[in-house]
Amino acid sequence: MTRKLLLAFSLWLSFSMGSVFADAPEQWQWDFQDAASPIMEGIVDLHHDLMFFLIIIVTFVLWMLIRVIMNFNSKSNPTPDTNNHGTAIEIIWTIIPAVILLFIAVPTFALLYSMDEGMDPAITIKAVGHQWYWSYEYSDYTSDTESLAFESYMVPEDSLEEGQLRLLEVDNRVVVPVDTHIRVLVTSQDVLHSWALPSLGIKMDACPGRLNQVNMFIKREGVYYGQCSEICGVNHAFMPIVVEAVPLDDYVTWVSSELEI
Amino acid sequence: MLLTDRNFNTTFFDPAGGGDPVLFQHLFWFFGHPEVYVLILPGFGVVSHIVSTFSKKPVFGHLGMVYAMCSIGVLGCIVWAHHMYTVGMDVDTRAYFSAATMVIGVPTGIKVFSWLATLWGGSIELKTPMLYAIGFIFLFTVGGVTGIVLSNAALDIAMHDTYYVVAHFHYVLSLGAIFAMFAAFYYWIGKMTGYQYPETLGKLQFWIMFFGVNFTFMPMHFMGLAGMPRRIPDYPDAFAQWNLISSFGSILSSISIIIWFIVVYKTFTDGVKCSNNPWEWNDKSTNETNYYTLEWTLPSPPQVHTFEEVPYIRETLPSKK
Repeated sequence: MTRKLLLAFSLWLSFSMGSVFADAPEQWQWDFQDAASPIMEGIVDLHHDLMFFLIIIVTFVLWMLIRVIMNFNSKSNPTPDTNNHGTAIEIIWTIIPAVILLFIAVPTFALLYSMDEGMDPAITIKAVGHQWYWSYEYSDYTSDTESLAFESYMVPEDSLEEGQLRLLEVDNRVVVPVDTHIRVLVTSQDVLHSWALPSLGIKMDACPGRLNQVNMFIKREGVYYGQCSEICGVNHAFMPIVVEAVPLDDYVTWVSSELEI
Repeated sequence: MLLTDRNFNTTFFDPAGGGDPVLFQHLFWFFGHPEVYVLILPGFGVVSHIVSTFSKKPVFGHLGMVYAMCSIGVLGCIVWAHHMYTVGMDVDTRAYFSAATMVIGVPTGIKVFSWLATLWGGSIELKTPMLYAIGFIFLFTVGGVTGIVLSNAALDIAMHDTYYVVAHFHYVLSLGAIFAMFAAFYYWIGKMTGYQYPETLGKLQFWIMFFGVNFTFMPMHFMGLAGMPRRIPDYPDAFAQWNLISSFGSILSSISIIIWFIVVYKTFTDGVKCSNNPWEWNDKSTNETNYYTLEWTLPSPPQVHTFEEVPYIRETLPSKK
């Protein structure tokens, strides 16, 4: 019920702001970007489950503090109670938080292990972090004569066209097909970086000397923005990530055109 | 190890020589996480002192409070990798650290509920140290629950290295540990120096500080959920409004610090002498003593050598049901 109310409210909010889906941050945004992958949907749902308990706890503590100040201040209660001991209540306030944690733990582990499920990817993409840009390799299409690899730099502010997002646009986007299991292998050529896309619920650190795998499955077409999420030097804020999810035919056309170049 | 890596050609953290930056992260956080509990445990102690003095009741469930502090200290040493959920650790490892981190919520909850139970039935004086202590109880709870959100390896994928983390640790530090430090200052400055602080100015300082830090750090939760990364000198334009509110809050906090300097100045120059126990309660028929710790039996400031021998406790008040 609370979830439906929250969903209705956020839908109203995004409609009133003039856009349908938020795959980049919006002004005054106070919640996640709209989910575009099953993992992100799971994260949003789990977050709502947790917020339910957290709001209860915080409200309870606040309410108790208010009542205590109202009812037991020195003017209304000059004689303090001397009770400072109570086994039953101590057991209760140990058991109830433990039970709440159990209620939180079950969906947590469900989501965590499902994020790690094996899957049969159709494509493998390598995302390599550099100071200060990303490079991508579609090694499935590598042959003796051709390969698909490119670098992705942030569009500098003075080169932005109207309507483009400052600090988020790149010159070459990662084009992928929708509704396809994709394996992304993340690593780095120099220092730690992190390949992150909030709408897709993806964040994987790019560690030098290490190949980290993350699964990507995008449920709807769109352009998804993210930023480097591990401090990597002076231009850490200026190496964004843009993934463009297109229908399969458009993806195939794009691959052939890229290979020709 | 970092020094030798930088200067003597070792490669502990350099993959080119067989090392790993993730090793640095494990070593750092193995220190770093217990460190933050070192930051907060004294604050817990201060709050217990102040809440009991200004409620005129001993702390509820003293033994439970002691066990809670000990368990927080021990558990704090086995949860370090919750700072590293996105480096590419094994799923079982992440599951263990999520579970262990969540468990710390139970002793912390025991402490918060025990403070509430100490307040309940008391005769509360809202002097400045008590304002800070009550503020601590609520705001540390808020910071603690965002910690429970972050402890979750699955949710942390969305929040790692975003401003949500910054919001969490500032709530538990700037609104937790620092509030406890201010409370301790106001509580003990009279005893330490012999001069009491000006009460109204102290309360003013509290309220401006309270609004300042809340305006500063509450919007960071929203920025983090919306995806604003940490450690960046410039952010996408969508984050501008919340950042503006945050900056306004920081200016308020700066003003409250200036007021605090005025409080310190006036404490030393107004010359309001502090008695042995400035917090004693006037209705002596209700309690035989009006202090729960020994410093309030001593003059302010205490003499250089107060006790020549250990002061043994000869009798205590019976604990009443």
